[in-house]
Amino acid sequence: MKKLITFSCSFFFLFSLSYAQQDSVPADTSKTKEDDFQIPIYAVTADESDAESNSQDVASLLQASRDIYLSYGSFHLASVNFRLRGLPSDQSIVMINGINMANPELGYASWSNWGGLNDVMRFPEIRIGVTPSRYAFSPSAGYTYIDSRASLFKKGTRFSYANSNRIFQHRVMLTHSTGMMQNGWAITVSASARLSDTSYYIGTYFNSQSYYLGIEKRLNDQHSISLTAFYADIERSRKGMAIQEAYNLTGTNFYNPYWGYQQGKKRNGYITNNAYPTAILSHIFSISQNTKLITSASFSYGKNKFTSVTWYDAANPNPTYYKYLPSYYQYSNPTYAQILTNLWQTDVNTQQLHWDNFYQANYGNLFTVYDVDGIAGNNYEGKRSKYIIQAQHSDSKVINFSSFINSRVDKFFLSGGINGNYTIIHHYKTVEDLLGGDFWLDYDIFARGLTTDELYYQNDIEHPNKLIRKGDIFGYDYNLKIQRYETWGQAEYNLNQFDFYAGISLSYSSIMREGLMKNGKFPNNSKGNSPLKSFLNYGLKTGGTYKISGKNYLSINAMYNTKPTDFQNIFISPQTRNDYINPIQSEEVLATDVNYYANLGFLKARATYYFYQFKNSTYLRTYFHDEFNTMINYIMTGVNTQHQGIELGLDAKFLRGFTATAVFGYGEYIYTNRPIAQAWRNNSGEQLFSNRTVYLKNYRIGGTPQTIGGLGLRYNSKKYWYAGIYFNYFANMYIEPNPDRRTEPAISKYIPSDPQWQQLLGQEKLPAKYTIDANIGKSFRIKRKYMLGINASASNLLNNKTIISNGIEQLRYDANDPLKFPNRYNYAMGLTYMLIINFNF
Amino acid sequence: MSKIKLFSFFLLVFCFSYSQKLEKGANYHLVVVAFWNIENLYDTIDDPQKKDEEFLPNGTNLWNTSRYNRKLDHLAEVIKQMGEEYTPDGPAVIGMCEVENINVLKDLAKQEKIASRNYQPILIEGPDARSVDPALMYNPKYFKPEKYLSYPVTIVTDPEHKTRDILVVYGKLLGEPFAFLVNHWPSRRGGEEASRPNRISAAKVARHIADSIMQTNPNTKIMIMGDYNDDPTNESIKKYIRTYADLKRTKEDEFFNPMEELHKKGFGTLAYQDQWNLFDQILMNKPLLPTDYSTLQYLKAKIFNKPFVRNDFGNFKGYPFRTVIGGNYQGGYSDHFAVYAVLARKTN
Repeated sequence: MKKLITFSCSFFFLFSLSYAQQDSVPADTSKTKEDDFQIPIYAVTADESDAESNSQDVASLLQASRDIYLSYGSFHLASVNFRLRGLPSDQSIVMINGINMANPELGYASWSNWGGLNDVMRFPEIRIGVTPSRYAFSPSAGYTYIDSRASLFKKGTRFSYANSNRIFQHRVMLTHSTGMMQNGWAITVSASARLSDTSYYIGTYFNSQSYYLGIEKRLNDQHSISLTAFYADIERSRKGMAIQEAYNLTGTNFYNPYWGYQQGKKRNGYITNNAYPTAILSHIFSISQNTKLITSASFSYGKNKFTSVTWYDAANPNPTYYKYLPSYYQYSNPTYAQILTNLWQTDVNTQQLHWDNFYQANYGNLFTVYDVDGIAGNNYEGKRSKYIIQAQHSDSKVINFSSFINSRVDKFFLSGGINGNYTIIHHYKTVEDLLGGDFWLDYDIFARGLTTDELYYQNDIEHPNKLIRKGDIFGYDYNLKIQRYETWGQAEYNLNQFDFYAGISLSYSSIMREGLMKNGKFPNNSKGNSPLKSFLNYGLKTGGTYKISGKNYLSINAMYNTKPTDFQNIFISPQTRNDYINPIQSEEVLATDVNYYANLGFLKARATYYFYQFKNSTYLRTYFHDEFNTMINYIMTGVNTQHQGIELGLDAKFLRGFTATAVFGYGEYIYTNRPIAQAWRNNSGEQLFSNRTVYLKNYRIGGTPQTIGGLGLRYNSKKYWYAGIYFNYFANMYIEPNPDRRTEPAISKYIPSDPQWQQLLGQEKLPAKYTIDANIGKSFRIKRKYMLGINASASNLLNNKTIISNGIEQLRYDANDPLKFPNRYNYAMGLTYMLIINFNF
Repeated sequence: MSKIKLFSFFLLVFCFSYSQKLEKGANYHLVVVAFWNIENLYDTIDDPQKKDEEFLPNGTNLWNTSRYNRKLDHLAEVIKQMGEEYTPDGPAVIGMCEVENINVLKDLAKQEKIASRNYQPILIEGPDARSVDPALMYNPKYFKPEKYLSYPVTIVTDPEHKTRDILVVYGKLLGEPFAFLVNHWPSRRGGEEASRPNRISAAKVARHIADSIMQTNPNTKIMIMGDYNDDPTNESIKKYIRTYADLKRTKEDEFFNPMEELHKKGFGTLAYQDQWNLFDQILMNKPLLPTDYSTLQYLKAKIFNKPFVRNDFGNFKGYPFRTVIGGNYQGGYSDHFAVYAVLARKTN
């Protein structure tokens, strides 16, 4: 807080200073008789005989083109998960026509919800870092505002075909827009399809269709009504992470454990389906020349399905299960280890999911279920599946409302608004495929044998021993009901050489769980409503720009806000019960940045120093813990982190048509305290421990390179073609630490000189790497009417297949043998290409 | 606290002044001369002789009476405010370009916000392909026109394509002989380099006009104003008109360009790809340069870029707030900011 006060003090001081240097030219309008022309007299009475005045407004910084650093990073370093300043996704906001598109449970928007609709979601307004926003109180990483109203698109038709070997093989997009017609209507439609039988990674495919409809009616110059509806239906199969041993044994870093052969055909058991149809209705009201009111309401009804292979009373289906790998036997049974090595190198059924085995196991498992549905004597005999494909669903209904006003009042620009969100997310699990069996029984394997109570291990005691068939709900079933209401305001003040702003936000949010299934382990608090948990939060931001000249700008920004506990981490075990974690407290965000911008014509640059602090974050994971030999809910509260660093991005034009781009980012994203952990037995609600100190201080936050560099050279010919080559470097990428390995119990058996000490505590830093990308394109104007564009790009030209794109520490670990559960990785794609042909008519 | 000191330091050292000094205690007459590319001031009436199809009620811009009236009101608002900090009379002379005909100027002069100034329009219809012409409006209290004429400019790269004439207006400004040249030079279509010969050719015409005025009457004060589609540092202006940013270095037959300094400091009147251009300039010959202010002499030049003439929203925030973009009505002012020069003369 102290920092904040200093900042606001300095802004206040600046305000008064700049008032002092304001123009004060006196204009005496008295007229003298001798003046034939009756011309007003200007008397120089002020102390300064300089007829002065700096009253010329220095031009504001123009930012129509994308930020050099951000666009370079998100384009050329996407394969290694470049994340601006290493910030969490919930620190930026994406708005379409005024509506915040975030999923309220996750706290961020998923761009795939409008994937493939590139033509109508193009050219968003993106501002990064702490920044004034006229549409909402934007969080600390900035905002993206997409104006996707039908009238904004040029009249005409656009067709585009793309071919690639990355995610999709083929993409077709077709968009037509009427433009604003004489009758005041504008209509835009867009459709796209993206597909591939085989994407880059073995055993993955992609299949998507997207649609967009925009209708706008201009009632008069003051009122306009717009309807925007879009829908992207995506099905994709996933790639699983694996430990390096599996990559080495199979001879490829693109090995994917998520598929296998079923009767000679490749089948992936891990498929994701998303579709979030969304409709937004907006009213744009130009109240006066200087005042505008934009009101929007939206509804979306989303479905998200995530499949995986699960099993009961059978061997683990995952081919990379640690007991299936040679290393597990290397000391205990070297002969068997050698046999496994040979199998791994030659037998596809060892490497991959062994579907035929799953079917055989299910076919052979003739089983009698007694008291089906809890009805005594209601017995059933059939093939009980040991392996199934389960589907985890999270279906959401989201209602959003937003209204904001913008008004210019002399040197002030005032913005403010209210917005609200009501969301119900239905989480449940269904059987996707019984894999040849007749039914599935909904038992919790970890709860079995804990008590003699026959109901205890039943996930649904209202339907004990239910025969779960394809499509039936099992395992868990609950709703999360989330609400958020916010009011915000912002004032910007423009002087000739200074711009200032200050903003405030007040919000109320609440969450509640509504259990729809009575779980045998928690009969009293699994079904029905949990208590409502609500939060009151606020945010403050302020900043200023010193417009040194139209070519140099200096800006400084600061914000502080609180936000609710992450809704994904607020229930100890949302799948089974209504219990909240404890303590629950709002998180705090402090963010500041200082920026220098140069706009010299031949050179455009931004240099930034940023400093962010996050306090009181929570962490929750459910996993198998070796020490307790059961599934646990592991919770850390009061987690503090800090992100600071510098960013540099510049574009320099030279000779004729050449542009050189250079970006550099050096960051330090770390944990700054020792949070307290607690753990609960997932299948009894017993607290296993609390007050366990996690020695996380100074560990690096994982998942994104903390150092990046890029150099690009592009030539734009006057003959409408271009070519570019880009050298990209990334380093200081760490693997996210598993908290429990950094606790006293984990290392209690060791002294610092033991190798296990470092094995448990050390954090893996991934090797620094570089890639080279290139692109080329040309556009043709045909008969002055049509435009044809051809663009080709290649990424990772050197076909480097040894770049780890992300990695994780397994949460399961064995304190006695820390190397037993090594880190798992994903590798970035090797050489890939994309060819795009556009035709506008 | 060190940050504050740093800022204060910047504040102190940063007092850029390219204005001249007026004497303490003395009284002056101040005269504002302005130029503005007003972005397609068309009426709503179909003139069969003109290419005004886009700006008709059923044209692509749906140019109806309410939009036309709003446009006039916006232009009047800026004209009213321009130079108000120096004189309540605002601009005494305004050069303009992109004007369809003299009637729209008459409508503009009648706007409530400026009607009291009794502006009188001058426009000569030229051959331009889009049927827009340079024009001039003056406040008769200040300026008495004596004659006006126009000179053709050729597009040397495409002589079939007709462009705007240069309008020349002679007269007396507060009794002193003046000549105003209103320009709208050929655009950068096809690229700055490829189209450069066209603007050089226009510059030669303007220079020729100025030369002949200076020859016949060296005391005439000449103000060459316009949208040159070139920056103050471009060859057409610098080399062919022969301009200087520095008052003291401006010789007898050369021109002082107050906009050059502004341009170097990053000011502009229009923007393209996040870069400011200063295409709209007012150039002055030697007799206008300040000595003792016994006659009308240059005091100050400015760009009218107040927040309300800039975009408030979107990616193009900060850019000039336009009337129409590609058939999409924006309801703004113009795609250019106006510029103005202040002249001063001691009373009695």
